[in-house]
Amino acid sequence: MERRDLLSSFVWFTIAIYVFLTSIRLGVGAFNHPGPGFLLFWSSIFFAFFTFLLVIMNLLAKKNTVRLVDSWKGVKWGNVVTVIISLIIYTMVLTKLGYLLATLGLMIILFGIGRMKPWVLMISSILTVVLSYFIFYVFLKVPLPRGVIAF
Amino acid sequence: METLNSLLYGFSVALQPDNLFFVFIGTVLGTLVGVLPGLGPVGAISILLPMTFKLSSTGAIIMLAGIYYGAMYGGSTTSILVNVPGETASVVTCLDGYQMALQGRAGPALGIAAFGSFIAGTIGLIGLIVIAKPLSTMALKFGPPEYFAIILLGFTFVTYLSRGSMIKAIMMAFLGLILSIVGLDPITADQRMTFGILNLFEGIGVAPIAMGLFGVGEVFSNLEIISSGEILKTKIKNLFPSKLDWLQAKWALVRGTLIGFFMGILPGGGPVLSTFIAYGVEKRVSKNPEKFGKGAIEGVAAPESANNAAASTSFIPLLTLGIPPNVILAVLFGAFLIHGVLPGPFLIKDHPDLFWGVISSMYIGNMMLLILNLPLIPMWVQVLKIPDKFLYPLILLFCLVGAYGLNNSLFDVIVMIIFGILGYLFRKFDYEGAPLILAYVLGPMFEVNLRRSLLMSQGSFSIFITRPISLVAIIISLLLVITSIFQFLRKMKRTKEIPNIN
Repeated sequence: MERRDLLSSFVWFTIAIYVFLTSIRLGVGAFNHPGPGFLLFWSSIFFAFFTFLLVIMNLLAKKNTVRLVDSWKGVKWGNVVTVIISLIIYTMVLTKLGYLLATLGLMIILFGIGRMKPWVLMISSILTVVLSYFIFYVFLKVPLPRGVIAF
Repeated sequence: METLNSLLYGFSVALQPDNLFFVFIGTVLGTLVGVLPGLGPVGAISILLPMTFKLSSTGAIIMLAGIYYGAMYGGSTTSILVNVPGETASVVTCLDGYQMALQGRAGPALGIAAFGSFIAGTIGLIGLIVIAKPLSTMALKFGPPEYFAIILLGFTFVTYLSRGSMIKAIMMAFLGLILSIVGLDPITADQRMTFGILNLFEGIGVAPIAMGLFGVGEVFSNLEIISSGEILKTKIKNLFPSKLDWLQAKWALVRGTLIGFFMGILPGGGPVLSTFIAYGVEKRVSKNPEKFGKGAIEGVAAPESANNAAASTSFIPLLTLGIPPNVILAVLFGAFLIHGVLPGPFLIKDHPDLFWGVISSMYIGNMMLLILNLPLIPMWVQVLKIPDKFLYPLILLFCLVGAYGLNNSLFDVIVMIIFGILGYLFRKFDYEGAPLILAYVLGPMFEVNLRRSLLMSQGSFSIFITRPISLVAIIISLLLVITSIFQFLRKMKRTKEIPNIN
């Protein structure tokens, strides 16, 4: 039995129920006059049906139980968590601090995951920020947020 | 004659200095993406999509198309030299390509891959030119029922041909369909699952989703592991295959090209699947099947020609019907829309410069790739030495700036990060992103054509079976569904029989 599938099925069922209720609220209409909720209605039903099928297949499957943690065994998932948190903080501070400062902080964290020597880390981060600023802001004219450093 | 004139017109567009430059950039980037494991053409096109906003629509599509077929060339380099496929369509090339390299025949392997790709890509383009115009003319007769049925066929194919669980692929397709409905209703303008957020009124946006699922999600997955592929320390010589190599590989090239040619056109087919089929066929027809997996040159020639032929012909349904047959072209379809161009039967008439310019640019691009891939192999090998700890942060930065640059809005960045997390979790839970993105891109067309068909027929589904083209598409879809049910039941029966044997 794949615990991963059972957990994901629970999430999908929740989504299917929400979408189903939304479609009813929007109005399903009739076959000769489909409403805005028509495709949502049928999609949620089929989605729930196949999710149910997945659950049944898992319960009937003659496999050894696969634990949820097995997907994360022996891999550096901590790196992923660090990066996700960094990205969330990055989006929160980008417009306030500006591209240069926010990206410098982000690159220090991202390059830091690679366990470089401190001077290599700082030079790589600064170089990346400066080069990317020239490529995107100056050359490609992407309007990056200025923030506290106004250039 | 008219086609020849149109092609010459296309060359006049493609040979303009700026478009020539975009072909070059696209093919170089495509080769680079193909060489580097971890980032495929979907991720690259998604990431670079926002960068094309400042370009003309023709230049943008030329460049993005170059990335697509360029990646097919580049992927073989890592497959042969490192035994790590640069991208999914090069997985099969590892089997014999790396073995040839171990036997000191890396040069002929790389050479036959490059020449085979060029020949097959050129033949695919000839097919594209021959078929495109008549198909466009035929497509003008398509109505909502035909479009609905063909899109349904596309959904059925992509789930039938999924590598993992078909049930999960179907679920992803429905999820993509649900996501595509977010926004204002195209007919009544009702808000659907927008949560009152203004940014969602026009839907979620294909670029942040694609960048998240295939770019950021891929980076997250790669951050967990350290690549252990060692570059083969061998002198690469004799890049031109010998006469014997050509004699051995010639029929593999022909068969691979034919397989790729037809698989590229089919919705859900494409370069990846064509390589597996081409290799399987080659092994089956060979007089010495035992040599496959041990350095058979046919094992390199067949998949490499298949993937390049498929890469060319997969543009046929996109350009003529407006239906992307695989996930890479689904993202390219998004690029067309962002540039205000609607692919489909009117594309030849409304944008002949773009249509013929892109096709002609693919000829030029194929020639550039042959030149780039052979003499520059030592350079591509050096690129492989860029440590992941530098590469992935840079890819992430590219994604972030690209997403922000779409609409100068943090909303797209947030969407991309959310889908990046989802893409990572999908990989962990064994769900594929390809059916989701294909269903997402085709969802609006699917819904509009379904509703219009039902309005036309006053609610009767017989409209889909009384029209011949839609009937054929529905029959093929049903056959695929029935076949998969039989396969599933046979598998269940086999699983039950095993304890009996014991």
